[in-house]
Amino acid sequence: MKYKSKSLIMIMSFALVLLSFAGAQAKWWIFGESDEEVSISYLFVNKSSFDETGAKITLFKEMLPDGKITISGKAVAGKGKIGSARVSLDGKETWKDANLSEGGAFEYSFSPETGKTYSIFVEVSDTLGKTNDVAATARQLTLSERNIMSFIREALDKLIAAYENHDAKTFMSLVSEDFAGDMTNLDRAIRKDFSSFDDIDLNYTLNNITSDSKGISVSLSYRRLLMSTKTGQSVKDKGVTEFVFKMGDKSARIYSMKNPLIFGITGAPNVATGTVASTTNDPVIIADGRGNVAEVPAQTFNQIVMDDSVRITNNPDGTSTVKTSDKTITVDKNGQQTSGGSNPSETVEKGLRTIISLGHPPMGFSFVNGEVMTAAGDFMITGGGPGFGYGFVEPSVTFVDLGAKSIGSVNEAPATGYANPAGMGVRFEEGHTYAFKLANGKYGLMEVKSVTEEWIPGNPGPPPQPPAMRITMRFEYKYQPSGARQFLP
Amino acid sequence: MKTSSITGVCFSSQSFRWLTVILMCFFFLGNPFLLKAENEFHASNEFSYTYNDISGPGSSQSSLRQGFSYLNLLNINDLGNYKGFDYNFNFGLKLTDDPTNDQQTASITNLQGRITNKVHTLNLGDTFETFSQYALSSAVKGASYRFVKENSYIPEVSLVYGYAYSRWDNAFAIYDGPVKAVARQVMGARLKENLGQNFWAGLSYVQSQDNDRVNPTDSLYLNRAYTFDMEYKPIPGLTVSGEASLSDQKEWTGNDGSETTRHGAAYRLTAVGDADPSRVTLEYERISPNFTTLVGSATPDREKAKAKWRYKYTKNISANLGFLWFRDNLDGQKTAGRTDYYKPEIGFTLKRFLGRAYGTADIAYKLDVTSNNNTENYNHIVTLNYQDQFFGFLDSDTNLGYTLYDNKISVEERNNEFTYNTSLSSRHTLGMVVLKPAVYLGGWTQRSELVVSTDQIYEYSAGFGLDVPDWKLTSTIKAGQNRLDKSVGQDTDKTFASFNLNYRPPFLKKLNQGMLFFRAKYNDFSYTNAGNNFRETSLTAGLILEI
Repeated sequence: MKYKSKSLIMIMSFALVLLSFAGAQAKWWIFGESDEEVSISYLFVNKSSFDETGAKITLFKEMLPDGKITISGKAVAGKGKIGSARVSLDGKETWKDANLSEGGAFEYSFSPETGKTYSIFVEVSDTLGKTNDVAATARQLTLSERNIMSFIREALDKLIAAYENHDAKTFMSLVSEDFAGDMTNLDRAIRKDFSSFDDIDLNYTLNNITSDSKGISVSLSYRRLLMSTKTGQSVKDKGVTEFVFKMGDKSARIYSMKNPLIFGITGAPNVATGTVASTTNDPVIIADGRGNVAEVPAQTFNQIVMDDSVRITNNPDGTSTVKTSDKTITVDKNGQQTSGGSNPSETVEKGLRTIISLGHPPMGFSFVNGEVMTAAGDFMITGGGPGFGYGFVEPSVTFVDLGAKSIGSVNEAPATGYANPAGMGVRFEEGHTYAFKLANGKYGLMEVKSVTEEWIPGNPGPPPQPPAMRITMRFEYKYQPSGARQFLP
Repeated sequence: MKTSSITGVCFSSQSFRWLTVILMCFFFLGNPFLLKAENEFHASNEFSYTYNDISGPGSSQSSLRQGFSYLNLLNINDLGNYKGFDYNFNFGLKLTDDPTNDQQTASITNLQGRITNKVHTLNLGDTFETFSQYALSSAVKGASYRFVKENSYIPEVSLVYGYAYSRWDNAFAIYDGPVKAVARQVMGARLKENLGQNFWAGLSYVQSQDNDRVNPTDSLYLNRAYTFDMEYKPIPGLTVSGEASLSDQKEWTGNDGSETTRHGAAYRLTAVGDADPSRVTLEYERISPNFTTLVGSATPDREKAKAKWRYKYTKNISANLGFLWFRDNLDGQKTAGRTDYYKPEIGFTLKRFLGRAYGTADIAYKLDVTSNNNTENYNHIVTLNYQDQFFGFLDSDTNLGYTLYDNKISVEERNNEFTYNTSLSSRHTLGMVVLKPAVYLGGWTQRSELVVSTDQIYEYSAGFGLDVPDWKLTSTIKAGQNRLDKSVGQDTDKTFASFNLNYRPPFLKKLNQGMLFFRAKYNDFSYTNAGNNFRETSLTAGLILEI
């Protein structure tokens, strides 16, 4: 396809750019390989990798289960052996020996003082006195005086200020590199938000903060007012949402967000990782990928927010039409649903099927499953001849013969006229279309495309098979699971 | 057929009430006067009183509530050590009479007790026990237990039980109506084993079960996830991590009580190489359309590949390159066919730009391609940020952006968008006073080439900060205007002003720390249709006390 070849060219071009940069410094891909014989394979502070913490680490009492900070790691010495491992907490002024195991693993724990900043270095030496690159282990670690709640509030305040000021650079600096919805998706989504909304006013109060050593879970109640640049109309809502933060260099950083999103709402299907169960049916703001925005009831929001096919049309009368893969609803200015339900043309299930009947057991068809089945179904075939199939309709199902017309010409199943004469056989005529009212109250259509018969001689077996007439009926069907009678093309 | 196994809110609320009793006992047992243990007690309380005035024919558009309201946030933290066990107790309470702050007048924000001797850790109340991304990464109200024996071959064991409620109100179920939520019961267990010094692996089982509908049409779910995750550090600087998860889900719809069963799988593999001068990330992820996790994090129906490279070329020049691709319709289940997304980007950061000591330039190009049978969108995004200091005192921050939205196939659209803003700020010390003037000028222009229309936003503002450090006083005042001019639709004009004052009086220091604050905000919205105009004024005074 056209886009695929373009995409291939784009990917190859990108790879070439990457390779051209690779020449700038040879062996850039050999991570951390150095001439040093003594090195540290990994280094952790309270189970967070030094690689991920950044130069400055802020910890809170709530994140220290036993009130202690533990620095652990593993040292390697090429062909030699690690002889010592020590840790400095005061910028190499003094050193403390770490517990060292035979294999080079080491660990050092201390009880930090609140508010104090520790300048940490780690030095490991082999038995010949060679040491690692000590400067590379430098970290500034502070046990904050503040409680974790004030730290999260500070991060949220910064995020909201950046979002309200359309400052994508500052906002993204407060997002974790391993953001669960992918950092690139969030970056694009907030830029689209900035293009779609003006006069953003966002306020919150915290409901709950819970932390473990890997992150901080945050629940908050928010209220917001946005001005749509598409319409010049304002939209507002309030609700409850959740975040997970991770500790960063200077601030907590967003690791994941749930719907209803307060940031990146134009990219919700790719940015959010879950939806907070709504506690009310108050309207919630929803946006499509083009930046069109509407308020919808919370229940509807929960059903459609992760559907990336959502398209919103803001109508001149102030209402909005929200179209999804299986629904079209209309909401008024206050987010109340004024009409809606399924779009009949988009929910119809259809297909072409073949029933092969050898008399017994009868072969049938289920509209709900779209499957041909043995001795079951909404209608069954037991015989017939050239141009017609003969069988019966399941007692709880009624039907009406619409005559010689194609299934495509039937836009709506009739409201009345359905019947099922109990105990009577039914002829399904080739070229006729039949409408069915099923046991679940929903409607189906079936057009008999062709019916052929073939004599199958008997077989002495084993197992013995008597001679029989094989009836092959090809038909096209449509099933409307929404309950509507419409089968629009 | 099981439409809902309603063990019910009554059972869960009783459980949580007992849990409260246990936690309160825990708190009082942990009281230093009772135990003579090493103990720290912290409390903070923030009280604010607000008056909002909303006027004008369009006042219903305001998100504020007319009149007076209060908000009080209390937090208590008690931690210490008793006979080798470290304990920690947290309690938070929110009080407000403004439903735009919270639906409830009184609600518990935090309730948690934790006790550990480094090997055994028991947590009650608010519980955040992260297993892995797919398995469990949500907080629950309940309990967890963890066993960790360092430097041994005994695996780490974690057990979790609770309800995935966002709020304690839901857990107690004291109130009907406003904050009722589906009772999502969560049970989980995890084993993690260090297999050598550079490799660990974990196995998790998490089950979540819904037990009560808020609305008759709500679906209820029973979800089980079986997850394996691992991390391996084969050479210094290189970390390879992965996760694979299988899920089983049953859904009982509220509409007709029908039962649907789904089975799905998700897996991801990530390699991060981090050492000067490079940081490289490679990631592959595949989540099937029927993979479901109610307390983990995953977007179903995605196949994703990602590569990122951050390269420090010299001390002053660094480059960022990234490529993200993902697609949907993994099982061919969408009648509209699959959609592919390609998001490459390249950016450079240049410090000491053009030899200027404080000049830093960031330039980036980003491309968004969305492609399926019906449409092919190309969004080209170019951004430029420049920060510098002029004349030794004037800090500047300037952003320029250009985006071209180019829709190739279904709906013909071709829009150009320009964003531009600059802020100038300064800081001057005059005796004991610090003055911080600032101005901001910004704009946004969108031109549609096909319908020949132009929409524009202009914003300008001026601010002034005045700090008196010796008096522990900080203040800022800001005022400006934002105008949206549209070719089609309503024009909007917003005039705004705000004032913030923070003061830490000496007499509050006797407690530990404290602050008085005052905030004022004024917004005046004018529309083409004057019937939508409204004004809002908000005044808040408050006191923060910390013990």
